[in-house]
Amino acid sequence: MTTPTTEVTDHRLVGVGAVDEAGDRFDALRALHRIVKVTEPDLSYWLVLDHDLVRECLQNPAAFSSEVITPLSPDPPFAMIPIQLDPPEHTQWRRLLAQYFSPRTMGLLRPRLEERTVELVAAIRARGECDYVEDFALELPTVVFLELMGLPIDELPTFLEWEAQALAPTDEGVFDPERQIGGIFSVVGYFQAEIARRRESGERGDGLLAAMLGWELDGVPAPDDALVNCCLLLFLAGLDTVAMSLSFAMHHLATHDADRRHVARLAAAGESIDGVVEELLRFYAVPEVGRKVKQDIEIGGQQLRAGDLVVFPLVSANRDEALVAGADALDLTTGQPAPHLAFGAGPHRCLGSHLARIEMSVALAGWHRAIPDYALRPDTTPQAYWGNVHGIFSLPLEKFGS
Amino acid sequence: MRIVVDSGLCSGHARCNATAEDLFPLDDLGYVAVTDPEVPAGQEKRARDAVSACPERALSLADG
Ligand code: HEM
Ligand code: SF4
Repeated sequence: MTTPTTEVTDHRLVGVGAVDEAGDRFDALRALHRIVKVTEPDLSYWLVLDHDLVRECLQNPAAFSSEVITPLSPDPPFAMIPIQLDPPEHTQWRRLLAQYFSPRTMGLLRPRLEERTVELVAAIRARGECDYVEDFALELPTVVFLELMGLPIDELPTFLEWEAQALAPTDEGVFDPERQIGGIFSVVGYFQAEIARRRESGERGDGLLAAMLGWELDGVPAPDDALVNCCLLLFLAGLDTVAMSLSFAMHHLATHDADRRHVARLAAAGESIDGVVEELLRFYAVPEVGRKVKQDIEIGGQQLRAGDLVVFPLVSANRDEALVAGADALDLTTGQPAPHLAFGAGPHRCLGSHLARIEMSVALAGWHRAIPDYALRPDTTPQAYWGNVHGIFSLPLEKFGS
Repeated sequence: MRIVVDSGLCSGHARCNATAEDLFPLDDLGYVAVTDPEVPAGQEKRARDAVSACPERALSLADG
Protein backbone atom coordinates (compact mmCIF):
# COMPACT_ATOMS: atom_id res chain seq x y z
CA MET A 1 0.00 0.00 0.00
CA THR A 2 1.37 3.41 -0.86
CA THR A 3 1.03 6.40 1.41
CA PRO A 4 0.43 9.90 0.04
CA THR A 5 3.66 11.52 -1.08
CA THR A 6 4.94 14.23 1.18
CA GLU A 7 7.44 16.58 -0.34
CA VAL A 8 10.37 18.27 1.29
CA THR A 9 11.38 21.54 -0.32
CA ASP A 10 13.99 22.89 2.09
CA HIS A 11 16.60 20.13 1.65
CA ARG A 12 19.66 20.86 -0.51
CA LEU A 13 21.97 18.27 -2.05
CA VAL A 14 24.86 20.75 -2.13
CA GLY A 15 25.68 23.08 0.73
CA VAL A 16 28.06 24.38 3.35
CA GLY A 17 27.74 24.42 7.12
CA ALA A 18 28.95 23.14 10.46
CA VAL A 19 30.79 19.79 10.50
CA ASP A 20 27.88 17.94 12.12
CA GLU A 21 25.11 19.66 10.23
CA ALA A 22 24.52 17.22 7.35
CA GLY A 23 24.50 14.15 9.60
CA ASP A 24 22.12 15.83 12.06
CA ARG A 25 19.80 16.94 9.27
CA PHE A 26 19.51 13.38 7.95
CA ASP A 27 18.81 12.12 11.49
CA ALA A 28 15.93 14.60 11.74
CA LEU A 29 14.57 13.64 8.30
CA ARG A 30 14.88 9.91 9.05
CA ALA A 31 12.82 10.37 12.21
CA LEU A 32 9.95 11.46 9.93
CA HIS A 33 10.44 9.46 6.74
CA ARG A 34 12.01 6.23 5.48
CA ILE A 35 11.96 7.69 1.99
CA VAL A 36 10.91 11.18 0.96
CA LYS A 37 10.55 13.19 -2.24
CA VAL A 38 12.74 16.29 -2.38
CA THR A 39 12.07 19.22 -4.68
CA GLU A 40 14.72 21.88 -5.05
CA PRO A 41 14.45 24.87 -7.40
CA ASP A 42 16.36 22.99 -10.13
CA LEU A 43 16.30 19.36 -8.98
CA SER A 44 13.93 16.68 -7.91
CA TYR A 45 14.77 13.29 -6.42
CA TRP A 46 13.83 10.72 -3.80
CA LEU A 47 15.90 10.60 -0.65
CA VAL A 48 16.15 7.12 0.90
CA LEU A 49 16.98 7.41 4.59
CA ASP A 50 16.24 3.98 6.08
CA HIS A 51 19.04 1.40 6.42
CA ASP A 52 17.12 -1.61 5.08
CA LEU A 53 15.70 0.32 2.14
CA VAL A 54 19.13 1.66 1.17
CA ARG A 55 20.61 -1.84 1.18
CA GLU A 56 17.71 -3.41 -0.71
CA CYS A 57 17.69 -0.73 -3.42
CA LEU A 58 21.47 -0.86 -3.95
CA GLN A 59 21.20 -4.65 -4.21
CA ASN A 60 18.65 -4.28 -7.01
CA PRO A 61 20.45 -2.85 -10.06
CA ALA A 62 17.66 -4.02 -12.39
CA ALA A 63 15.30 -1.47 -10.83
CA PHE A 64 17.93 1.08 -9.72
CA SER A 65 20.33 1.80 -12.56
CA SER A 66 23.75 3.41 -12.17
CA GLU A 67 23.31 5.23 -15.46
CA VAL A 68 22.75 8.33 -13.31
CA ILE A 69 24.76 8.43 -10.08
CA THR A 70 23.88 11.97 -9.04
CA PRO A 71 20.95 14.29 -9.74
CA LEU A 72 23.62 16.97 -10.29
CA SER A 73 24.37 15.24 -13.62
CA PRO A 74 21.01 13.84 -14.82
CA ASP A 75 22.16 13.33 -18.45
CA PRO A 76 25.77 12.22 -18.24
CA PRO A 77 27.70 12.71 -21.52
CA PHE A 78 29.34 9.28 -21.16
CA ALA A 79 29.30 6.36 -18.71
CA MET A 80 32.23 6.13 -16.32
CA ILE A 81 33.68 2.63 -16.03
CA PRO A 82 32.69 0.70 -13.94
CA ILE A 83 30.60 2.96 -11.70
CA GLN A 84 27.96 3.92 -14.29
CA LEU A 85 27.60 0.50 -15.93
CA ASP A 86 24.83 -1.91 -15.01
CA PRO A 87 25.18 -5.69 -15.03
CA PRO A 88 26.04 -7.62 -17.17
CA GLU A 89 28.42 -5.05 -18.71
CA HIS A 90 29.48 -3.98 -15.22
CA THR A 91 30.25 -7.56 -14.20
CA GLN A 92 32.89 -7.98 -16.93
CA TRP A 93 34.86 -4.93 -15.81
CA ARG A 94 34.45 -5.75 -12.17
CA ARG A 95 35.93 -9.20 -12.79
CA LEU A 96 38.96 -7.66 -14.48
CA LEU A 97 39.49 -5.13 -11.71
CA ALA A 98 38.70 -7.16 -8.61
CA GLN A 99 41.89 -9.18 -8.22
CA TYR A 100 43.95 -5.96 -8.18
CA PHE A 101 41.85 -4.64 -5.28
CA SER A 102 41.44 -7.81 -3.20
CA PRO A 103 42.32 -7.72 0.51
CA ARG A 104 45.45 -9.76 -0.20
CA THR A 105 46.74 -7.55 -3.05
CA MET A 106 45.98 -4.36 -1.11
CA GLY A 107 47.86 -5.67 1.91
CA LEU A 108 51.03 -5.52 -0.18
CA LEU A 109 50.75 -1.72 -0.25
CA ARG A 110 50.81 -1.46 3.55
CA PRO A 111 54.60 -1.12 4.08
CA ARG A 112 54.85 1.71 1.54
CA LEU A 113 51.89 3.44 3.16
CA GLU A 114 53.40 3.13 6.61
CA GLU A 115 56.67 4.56 5.38
CA ARG A 116 54.98 7.57 3.77
CA THR A 117 52.79 8.14 6.84
CA VAL A 118 55.84 8.21 9.13
CA GLU A 119 57.53 10.77 6.85
CA LEU A 120 54.48 13.01 6.60
CA VAL A 121 53.71 12.90 10.32
CA ALA A 122 57.34 13.54 11.32
CA ALA A 123 57.43 16.68 9.15
CA ILE A 124 54.13 17.91 10.60
CA ARG A 125 55.27 17.21 14.14
CA ALA A 126 58.49 19.16 13.62
CA ARG A 127 56.44 22.16 12.44
CA GLY A 128 54.16 21.95 15.48
CA GLU A 129 50.97 22.67 13.52
CA CYS A 130 49.25 21.79 10.27
CA ASP A 131 46.15 21.92 8.15
CA TYR A 132 45.33 18.22 8.38
CA VAL A 133 43.28 18.28 5.15
CA GLU A 134 45.94 19.81 2.95
CA ASP A 135 49.13 18.60 4.65
CA PHE A 136 48.11 15.01 5.26
CA ALA A 137 44.65 13.80 4.23
CA LEU A 138 44.81 14.75 0.55
CA GLU A 139 48.41 13.74 0.09
CA LEU A 140 48.42 10.17 1.39
CA PRO A 141 45.75 8.68 -0.92
CA THR A 142 47.29 10.44 -3.92
CA VAL A 143 50.67 8.83 -3.20
CA VAL A 144 48.90 5.47 -2.94
CA PHE A 145 47.08 6.09 -6.22
CA LEU A 146 50.33 6.76 -8.09
CA GLU A 147 51.89 3.70 -6.51
CA LEU A 148 48.92 1.48 -7.34
CA MET A 149 48.69 2.64 -10.97
CA GLY A 150 52.46 2.36 -11.48
CA LEU A 151 53.12 6.06 -12.08
CA PRO A 152 56.19 8.05 -10.96
CA ILE A 153 55.97 9.76 -7.59
CA ASP A 154 57.24 13.05 -9.11
CA GLU A 155 53.74 13.43 -10.54
CA LEU A 156 52.39 14.05 -7.03
CA PRO A 157 52.14 17.89 -7.15
CA THR A 158 50.48 17.75 -10.58
CA PHE A 159 47.94 15.16 -9.49
CA LEU A 160 47.17 17.09 -6.28
CA GLU A 161 46.44 20.17 -8.39
CA TRP A 162 44.13 18.26 -10.77
CA GLU A 163 42.41 16.66 -7.81
CA ALA A 164 41.72 20.08 -6.27
CA GLN A 165 40.19 21.24 -9.56
CA ALA A 166 38.16 18.13 -10.26
CA LEU A 167 36.85 17.27 -6.80
CA ALA A 168 37.01 20.14 -4.33
CA PRO A 169 34.47 22.94 -4.11
CA THR A 170 35.59 26.58 -4.17
CA ASP A 171 35.93 28.33 -0.79
CA GLU A 172 32.25 29.28 -1.07
CA GLY A 173 31.30 25.62 -1.33
CA VAL A 174 30.22 25.76 -4.97
CA PHE A 175 31.25 23.14 -7.47
CA ASP A 176 32.35 25.17 -10.47
CA PRO A 177 31.71 22.96 -13.53
CA GLU A 178 34.31 24.69 -15.67
CA ARG A 179 37.05 24.20 -13.11
CA GLN A 180 35.99 20.57 -12.57
CA ILE A 181 35.95 19.79 -16.29
CA GLY A 182 39.37 21.43 -16.61
CA GLY A 183 40.76 19.08 -13.95
CA ILE A 184 39.10 16.06 -15.53
CA PHE A 185 40.44 16.89 -19.01
CA SER A 186 43.94 17.17 -17.58
CA VAL A 187 43.69 13.70 -16.03
CA VAL A 188 42.22 12.24 -19.22
CA GLY A 189 44.98 13.86 -21.30
CA TYR A 190 47.63 12.48 -18.98
CA PHE A 191 46.35 8.90 -19.17
CA GLN A 192 45.86 9.08 -22.94
CA ALA A 193 49.48 10.15 -23.36
CA GLU A 194 50.79 7.62 -20.83
CA ILE A 195 48.92 4.70 -22.42
CA ALA A 196 50.07 5.76 -25.92
CA ARG A 197 53.65 6.06 -24.67
CA ARG A 198 53.59 2.59 -23.14
CA ARG A 199 52.00 1.07 -26.26
CA GLU A 200 54.56 2.68 -28.57
CA SER A 201 57.57 1.77 -26.49
CA GLY A 202 56.31 -1.81 -26.32
CA GLU A 203 57.04 -1.82 -22.59
CA ARG A 204 53.93 -2.04 -20.48
CA GLY A 205 55.69 -0.62 -17.43
CA ASP A 206 54.49 -1.04 -13.85
CA GLY A 207 51.37 -1.24 -11.76
CA LEU A 208 47.71 -1.66 -12.53
CA LEU A 209 48.12 0.36 -15.72
CA ALA A 210 50.51 -2.29 -17.07
CA ALA A 211 47.92 -5.00 -16.40
CA MET A 212 45.14 -2.95 -17.98
CA LEU A 213 47.04 -2.78 -21.28
CA GLY A 214 46.52 -6.54 -21.61
CA TRP A 215 42.82 -6.63 -20.71
CA GLU A 216 40.26 -8.22 -23.02
CA LEU A 217 36.47 -7.99 -23.15
CA ASP A 218 34.76 -10.91 -24.89
CA GLY A 219 38.11 -11.95 -26.31
CA VAL A 220 38.81 -8.52 -27.86
CA PRO A 221 41.43 -6.13 -26.41
CA ALA A 222 39.77 -3.41 -24.33
CA PRO A 223 39.87 -0.16 -26.34
CA ASP A 224 42.25 2.49 -25.04
CA ASP A 225 39.50 5.06 -24.56
CA ALA A 226 37.71 2.64 -22.22
CA LEU A 227 40.96 2.15 -20.27
CA VAL A 228 41.43 5.93 -19.99
CA ASN A 229 37.84 6.22 -18.78
CA CYS A 230 38.46 3.57 -16.11
CA CYS A 231 41.70 5.27 -14.98
CA LEU A 232 39.78 8.53 -14.61
CA LEU A 233 37.16 6.86 -12.44
CA LEU A 234 39.83 5.30 -10.21
CA PHE A 235 41.29 8.79 -9.80
CA LEU A 236 37.89 10.29 -8.96
CA ALA A 237 36.79 7.49 -6.61
CA GLY A 238 39.80 6.93 -4.38
CA LEU A 239 41.16 10.34 -3.44
CA ASP A 240 38.72 12.73 -1.77
CA THR A 241 36.68 9.84 -0.32
CA VAL A 242 39.68 8.70 1.72
CA ALA A 243 40.89 12.25 2.40
CA MET A 244 37.51 13.35 3.72
CA SER A 245 36.81 10.20 5.73
CA LEU A 246 40.15 10.82 7.42
CA SER A 247 39.37 14.51 7.95
CA PHE A 248 35.99 13.83 9.59
CA ALA A 249 37.67 11.18 11.76
CA MET A 250 40.41 13.56 12.89
CA HIS A 251 37.93 16.37 13.50
CA HIS A 252 36.02 14.03 15.77
CA LEU A 253 39.12 12.91 17.65
CA ALA A 254 40.43 16.47 18.01
CA THR A 255 37.15 17.49 19.63
CA HIS A 256 36.47 14.38 21.78
CA ASP A 257 39.15 13.89 24.44
CA ALA A 258 38.20 10.42 25.64
CA ASP A 259 38.01 9.05 22.10
CA ARG A 260 41.36 10.63 21.19
CA ARG A 261 43.00 9.11 24.26
CA HIS A 262 41.50 5.73 23.42
CA VAL A 263 42.98 5.77 19.92
CA ALA A 264 46.34 7.07 21.17
CA ARG A 265 46.47 4.28 23.74
CA LEU A 266 45.78 1.58 21.13
CA ALA A 267 48.36 3.09 18.77
CA ALA A 268 51.03 3.32 21.47
CA ALA A 269 50.43 -0.31 22.46
CA GLY A 270 50.63 -1.41 18.83
CA GLU A 271 47.12 -2.84 19.09
CA SER A 272 44.76 -3.00 16.12
CA ILE A 273 42.64 0.09 15.52
CA ASP A 274 40.54 -1.60 12.83
CA GLY A 275 37.44 -1.46 15.03
CA VAL A 276 37.95 2.28 15.55
CA VAL A 277 38.25 2.77 11.79
CA GLU A 278 35.00 0.88 11.17
CA GLU A 279 33.09 2.97 13.70
CA LEU A 280 34.45 6.25 12.30
CA LEU A 281 33.65 5.14 8.73
CA ARG A 282 30.15 4.21 9.83
CA PHE A 283 29.34 7.41 11.67
CA TYR A 284 30.92 9.82 9.20
CA ALA A 285 30.14 8.03 5.92
CA VAL A 286 30.90 10.67 3.30
CA PRO A 287 29.25 9.49 0.05
CA GLU A 288 25.73 10.15 -1.17
CA VAL A 289 25.15 7.52 -3.84
CA GLY A 290 22.65 8.06 -6.66
CA ARG A 291 20.56 5.91 -9.03
CA LYS A 292 17.95 6.23 -11.77
CA VAL A 293 14.75 4.19 -11.51
CA LYS A 294 14.47 1.78 -14.46
CA GLN A 295 11.05 0.30 -13.80
CA ASP A 296 8.12 1.47 -11.67
CA ILE A 297 8.61 0.12 -8.18
CA GLU A 298 7.11 0.58 -4.73
CA ILE A 299 9.61 1.29 -1.97
CA GLY A 300 8.79 1.95 1.68
CA GLY A 301 5.18 2.75 0.79
CA GLN A 302 6.10 5.20 -1.98
CA GLN A 303 5.49 4.67 -5.69
CA LEU A 304 8.62 5.40 -7.72
CA ARG A 305 8.33 5.79 -11.50
CA ALA A 306 10.79 4.85 -14.23
CA GLY A 307 13.02 7.87 -14.83
CA ASP A 308 12.90 9.13 -11.22
CA LEU A 309 16.24 9.92 -9.62
CA VAL A 310 17.15 8.60 -6.16
CA VAL A 311 19.79 9.62 -3.61
CA PHE A 312 21.08 7.35 -0.85
CA PRO A 313 22.91 9.33 1.85
CA LEU A 314 24.97 6.54 3.40
CA VAL A 315 25.42 8.45 6.64
CA SER A 316 21.67 8.22 7.16
CA ALA A 317 21.59 4.44 6.59
CA ASN A 318 24.54 4.07 8.96
CA ARG A 319 22.97 5.99 11.83
CA ASP A 320 19.65 4.16 11.62
CA GLU A 321 18.74 2.23 14.77
CA ALA A 322 17.67 -0.61 12.46
CA LEU A 323 21.38 -1.24 11.80
CA VAL A 324 22.38 -1.47 15.44
CA ALA A 325 21.06 -0.19 18.77
CA GLY A 326 22.62 3.17 19.61
CA ALA A 327 23.52 3.84 15.96
CA ASP A 328 22.84 7.56 16.41
CA ALA A 329 25.96 7.95 18.59
CA LEU A 330 29.59 7.12 17.92
CA ASP A 331 31.09 4.52 20.26
CA LEU A 332 34.73 3.57 19.70
CA THR A 333 34.72 0.91 22.37
CA THR A 334 31.98 -1.34 20.94
CA GLY A 335 33.19 -4.88 20.60
CA GLN A 336 31.93 -5.85 17.20
CA PRO A 337 31.79 -3.24 14.42
CA ALA A 338 28.35 -2.73 12.87
CA PRO A 339 27.88 -4.00 9.29
CA HIS A 340 27.61 -0.45 7.93
CA LEU A 341 27.16 0.73 4.36
CA ALA A 342 29.91 3.39 4.08
CA PHE A 343 31.21 1.47 1.06
CA GLY A 344 27.77 0.99 -0.44
CA ALA A 345 26.09 -2.36 -1.16
CA GLY A 346 25.29 -4.58 -4.09
CA PRO A 347 27.40 -5.08 -7.20
CA HIS A 348 28.99 -1.60 -7.02
CA ARG A 349 30.28 -2.13 -3.46
CA CYS A 350 33.36 0.09 -3.29
CA LEU A 351 36.09 -1.66 -5.22
CA GLY A 352 38.64 0.23 -3.13
CA SER A 353 37.13 -0.65 0.26
CA HIS A 354 40.00 -2.92 1.30
CA LEU A 355 42.55 -0.32 0.28
CA ALA A 356 40.60 2.48 1.97
CA ARG A 357 40.45 0.53 5.23
CA ILE A 358 44.21 -0.01 5.20
CA GLU A 359 44.82 3.66 4.38
CA MET A 360 42.59 4.79 7.26
CA SER A 361 44.11 2.38 9.71
CA VAL A 362 47.74 3.15 8.80
CA ALA A 363 47.07 6.90 8.74
CA LEU A 364 45.33 7.04 12.12
CA ALA A 365 47.71 4.65 13.87
CA GLY A 366 50.79 6.39 12.45
CA TRP A 367 49.54 9.83 13.43
CA HIS A 368 48.65 8.87 17.02
CA ARG A 369 51.90 7.03 17.58
CA ALA A 370 53.84 10.21 16.76
CA ILE A 371 51.30 12.84 17.86
CA PRO A 372 49.06 11.32 20.53
CA ASP A 373 47.69 14.68 21.65
CA TYR A 374 46.60 17.66 19.59
CA ALA A 375 43.81 20.24 19.42
CA LEU A 376 41.89 22.34 16.96
CA ARG A 377 43.33 25.82 16.58
CA PRO A 378 41.08 27.75 18.97
CA ASP A 379 40.24 30.71 16.74
CA THR A 380 38.77 28.53 13.97
CA THR A 381 35.54 26.63 13.41
CA PRO A 382 36.01 24.10 10.62
CA GLN A 383 33.36 24.23 7.93
CA ALA A 384 32.01 21.25 6.03
CA TYR A 385 30.50 20.99 2.57
CA TRP A 386 28.24 18.35 1.14
CA GLY A 387 27.26 17.03 -2.24
CA ASN A 388 28.14 13.66 -3.78
CA VAL A 389 30.91 13.41 -1.19
CA HIS A 390 30.87 15.30 2.12
CA GLY A 391 34.06 17.11 3.05
CA ILE A 392 35.79 19.57 5.35
CA PHE A 393 37.52 22.65 3.92
CA SER A 394 40.40 22.76 6.37
CA LEU A 395 41.30 21.38 9.77
CA PRO A 396 43.98 23.40 11.56
CA LEU A 397 45.59 21.31 14.31
CA GLU A 398 48.16 22.40 16.91
CA LYS A 399 49.30 21.93 20.56
CA PHE A 400 51.04 18.68 19.74
CA GLY A 401 51.78 16.88 22.98
CA SER A 402 52.75 13.44 24.08
CA MET B 1 25.98 -25.76 12.62
CA ARG B 2 26.40 -25.04 8.91
CA ILE B 3 27.32 -21.86 7.00
CA VAL B 4 24.92 -20.91 4.21
CA VAL B 5 26.10 -18.38 1.59
CA ASP B 6 23.74 -16.52 -0.72
CA SER B 7 26.35 -15.98 -3.42
CA GLY B 8 23.96 -13.75 -5.37
CA LEU B 9 24.14 -11.25 -2.51
CA CYS B 10 27.86 -11.52 -1.66
CA SER B 11 29.59 -8.45 -3.08
CA GLY B 12 33.01 -9.00 -1.57
CA HIS B 13 33.05 -6.74 1.50
CA ALA B 14 35.18 -9.46 3.11
CA ARG B 15 33.94 -8.58 6.60
CA CYS B 16 33.20 -12.22 7.31
CA ASN B 17 36.81 -13.02 6.45
CA ALA B 18 38.07 -10.15 8.64
CA THR B 19 36.12 -11.64 11.55
CA ALA B 20 36.88 -15.36 11.14
CA GLU B 21 39.44 -15.87 8.39
CA ASP B 22 39.63 -19.65 8.69
CA LEU B 23 35.87 -20.21 8.45
CA PHE B 24 35.32 -17.72 5.60
CA PRO B 25 38.15 -17.98 3.07
CA LEU B 26 38.03 -15.67 0.04
CA ASP B 27 38.55 -16.44 -3.64
CA ASP B 28 41.15 -14.57 -5.72
CA LEU B 29 38.72 -11.74 -6.38
CA GLY B 30 37.99 -11.26 -2.68
CA TYR B 31 34.52 -12.83 -2.55
CA VAL B 32 33.66 -15.42 0.07
CA ALA B 33 34.40 -19.02 -1.01
CA VAL B 34 33.46 -21.28 1.89
CA THR B 35 35.11 -24.64 1.32
CA ASP B 36 33.82 -26.41 4.42
CA PRO B 37 30.40 -25.13 5.54
CA GLU B 38 30.51 -27.25 8.72
CA VAL B 39 31.34 -25.04 11.75
CA PRO B 40 33.77 -26.94 14.03
CA ALA B 41 32.67 -27.43 17.63
CA GLY B 42 33.65 -24.47 19.77
CA GLN B 43 33.70 -22.06 16.82
CA GLU B 44 29.99 -21.21 16.90
CA LYS B 45 30.40 -17.72 18.35
CA ARG B 46 33.03 -16.74 15.78
CA ALA B 47 30.79 -18.03 13.00
CA ARG B 48 27.84 -16.03 14.36
CA ASP B 49 29.93 -12.85 14.66
CA ALA B 50 31.19 -13.27 11.10
CA VAL B 51 27.67 -13.83 9.77
CA SER B 52 26.40 -10.68 11.46
CA ALA B 53 29.38 -8.68 10.12
CA CYS B 54 28.14 -9.04 6.53
CA PRO B 55 26.70 -5.72 5.29
CA GLU B 56 24.82 -7.50 2.49
CA ARG B 57 23.16 -10.07 4.82
CA ALA B 58 24.48 -12.70 2.44
CA LEU B 59 25.32 -15.20 5.19
CA SER B 60 23.27 -17.32 7.54
CA LEU B 61 23.67 -20.35 9.77
CA ALA B 62 21.61 -23.53 9.60
CA ASP B 63 21.27 -26.32 12.15
CA GLY B 64 22.85 -29.69 11.56
C1 HEM C 1 36.89 5.75 2.79
C2 HEM C 1 37.03 5.84 1.50
C3 HEM C 1 36.01 5.42 0.48
C4 HEM C 1 34.64 5.41 0.56
C5 HEM C 1 33.79 5.83 1.74
C6 HEM C 1 34.15 4.88 -0.70
C7 HEM C 1 32.82 4.69 -1.00
C8 HEM C 1 32.34 4.15 -2.17
C9 HEM C 1 30.96 3.87 -2.45
C10 HEM C 1 29.80 4.12 -1.50
C11 HEM C 1 30.87 3.33 -3.69
C12 HEM C 1 29.62 2.84 -4.39
C13 HEM C 1 29.10 3.85 -5.36
C14 HEM C 1 27.81 3.42 -6.01
O1 HEM C 1 27.23 2.41 -5.59
O2 HEM C 1 27.36 4.10 -6.94
C15 HEM C 1 32.21 3.28 -4.21
C16 HEM C 1 32.54 2.80 -5.46
C17 HEM C 1 33.83 2.72 -5.93
N1 HEM C 1 34.99 3.03 -5.24
FE1 HEM C 1 35.10 3.72 -3.36
N2 HEM C 1 35.20 4.61 -1.52
C18 HEM C 1 36.36 4.90 -0.84
C19 HEM C 1 37.65 4.72 -1.31
C20 HEM C 1 37.99 4.18 -2.51
C21 HEM C 1 39.35 3.90 -2.94
C22 HEM C 1 40.61 4.12 -2.11
C23 HEM C 1 39.27 3.43 -4.19
C24 HEM C 1 40.46 2.98 -5.01
C25 HEM C 1 40.82 3.43 -6.12
C26 HEM C 1 37.88 3.38 -4.57
C27 HEM C 1 37.39 2.94 -5.77
C28 HEM C 1 36.05 2.77 -6.08
C29 HEM C 1 35.57 2.30 -7.35
C30 HEM C 1 36.41 1.90 -8.54
C31 HEM C 1 34.17 2.26 -7.26
C32 HEM C 1 33.19 1.82 -8.36
C33 HEM C 1 32.88 0.37 -8.16
C34 HEM C 1 31.85 -0.15 -9.11
O3 HEM C 1 31.13 0.63 -9.73
O4 HEM C 1 31.76 -1.38 -9.26
N3 HEM C 1 37.13 3.84 -3.52
N4 HEM C 1 33.09 3.77 -3.26
S1 SF4 D 1 30.97 -10.10 4.33
FE1 SF4 D 1 29.25 -10.72 3.09
S2 SF4 D 1 29.49 -9.68 1.18
FE2 SF4 D 1 31.39 -9.66 2.25
S3 SF4 D 1 32.59 -11.40 1.46
FE3 SF4 D 1 31.59 -12.00 3.33
S4 SF4 D 1 29.69 -12.83 2.54
FE4 SF4 D 1 30.48 -11.65 0.91
